Amino acid sequence: MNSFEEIINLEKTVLYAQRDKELFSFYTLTLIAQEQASKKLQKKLWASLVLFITCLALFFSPISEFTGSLITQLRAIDMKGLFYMALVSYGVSGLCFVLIEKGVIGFR
Amino acid sequence: MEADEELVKRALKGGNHYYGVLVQRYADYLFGLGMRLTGGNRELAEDISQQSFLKSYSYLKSFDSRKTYKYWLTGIAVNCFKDMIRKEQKYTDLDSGSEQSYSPQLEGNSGFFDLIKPLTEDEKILFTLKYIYEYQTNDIADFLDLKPGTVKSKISRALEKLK
Repeated sequence: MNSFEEIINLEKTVLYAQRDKELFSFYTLTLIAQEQASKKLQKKLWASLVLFITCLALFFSPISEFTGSLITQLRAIDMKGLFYMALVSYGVSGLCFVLIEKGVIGFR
Repeated sequence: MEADEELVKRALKGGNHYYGVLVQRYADYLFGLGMRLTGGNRELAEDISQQSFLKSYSYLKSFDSRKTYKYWLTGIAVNCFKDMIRKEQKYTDLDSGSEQSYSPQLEGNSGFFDLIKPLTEDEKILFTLKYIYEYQTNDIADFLDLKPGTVKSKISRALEKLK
């Protein structure tokens, strides 16, 4: 009977090989792709379900009340002031951009 | 030849065929590990290597590049083997009344398989990793989520059994 070390050393030299590595790799990648596709489908199903429930909730909720309050809130916004602020801030940032481009002001 | 870490990065960016290169590179290694752990059962060894590659792909984002891919894959394969054994035991317990209808095909170095036959599945893992793959006690402890001291005592218990 072989000694312990002999058996171990012999086993270290044994090389085990898959029957068909190409096929094995192809099959494994196919399984991975299948799993990915099923995960994507699951995500889509969940998103559709959430969307469906939201639509259903909106449909059954008192929609006129909701739109009424939305219009009131929109009317309350000072559009003139908002437009003026946007004009001033874009104007200042545009001026800064031009000055930086021309090298009048710069960062070192 | 492209480095494993580079292939992992590319596979993560969505190139599944880069993962295919890794599968081909380590197919024989994992199959060999599976053969040794299962005592020469080709079917089980193939299952273990496939499950390991599938698991490795799904956890690829958590791959720590400070360790080698081969090292990481070994840990996954060992745990796949443990899971498989646990599942098989569950089915054997349920099936204990019926006769065994399937006998696995055993191949390889029968001397080694006979040598480790008296060991439990856990001891087979420890023994194979330590004496065939020459992993350090700390690495084995890392694979199996055990303390190095526990690994040492389990290995010495396994050696006692083989004397």
